[in-house]
Amino acid sequence: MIYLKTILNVIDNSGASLVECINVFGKGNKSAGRVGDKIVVVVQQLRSARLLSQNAANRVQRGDVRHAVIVRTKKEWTRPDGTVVRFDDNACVLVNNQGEPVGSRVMGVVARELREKYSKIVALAPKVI
Amino acid sequence: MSLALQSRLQLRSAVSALSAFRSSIISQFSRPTATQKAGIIIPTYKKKVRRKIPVSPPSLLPKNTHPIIYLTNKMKEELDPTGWRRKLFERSSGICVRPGDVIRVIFKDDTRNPFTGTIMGIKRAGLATSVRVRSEVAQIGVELSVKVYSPSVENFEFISRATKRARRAKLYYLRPDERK
Repeated sequence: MIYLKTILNVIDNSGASLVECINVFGKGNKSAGRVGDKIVVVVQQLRSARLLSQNAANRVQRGDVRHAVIVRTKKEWTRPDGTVVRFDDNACVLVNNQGEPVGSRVMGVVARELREKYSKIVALAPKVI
Repeated sequence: MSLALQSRLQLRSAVSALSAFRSSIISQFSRPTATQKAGIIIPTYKKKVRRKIPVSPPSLLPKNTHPIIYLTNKMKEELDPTGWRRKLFERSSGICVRPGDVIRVIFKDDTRNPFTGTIMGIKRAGLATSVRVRSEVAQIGVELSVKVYSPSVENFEFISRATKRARRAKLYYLRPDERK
């Protein structure tokens, strides 16, 4: 359940570590963002320098407004086959306006729901649940 | 002829005489079933039609069987022909898994990785029985609740028993402490 003011972990090497959600695309004021939804975020905290990507142009600054895709949520959801999935944190991956990831690596597990729309994130992720 | 039989016969003849007398009176005073008036037959009495009571066909169920229990058992037989799932998740089997045990869920879909983790709890609900499995994947806790009789699951593998029997039915304490 991601909406205005939700703080999310960033699990790529774009440079950000914590971001705050300021909008969920395609939802009204009342409904929450789920895995696979695109959101607008503000970068709140940066990662330490050694995990950053080599490309300085891709790096983000504190206070930047960026697009991101939700890859994990704490709120459980049901899949068509009846399986219920839940992660321990809310996490996202920063993307550009075309939906391609800003960073070159994805650290940590992502949900299978991203396969069709964001196959690049799924390909970069070490584990898919 | 005994006295009792004789008196009974007398009674019967008296009853029949009475009924004959009654019917003769009724036929005298009751109106005809139809009257002829200006060439048109107007029925005065409605013909009595007896309502047909539908009779249900005989039950296909074996005798003294509850239909829901029968159907559940039949579907369990279909969904779990080897009986392995029932062995693992039904208390009556004796070797049923408990919270704290480690199992692996293998899916029919090849693209889905098998999921290994600790059982947090079993929700027993007949065919909708589900098992909640928790594990840590890449330092992130993941919980998966799977329907035991789901056709999308290939198999459940039993990995190990809990080292100490869990004192709770649902191991929600495995989740990280949120208080900071």
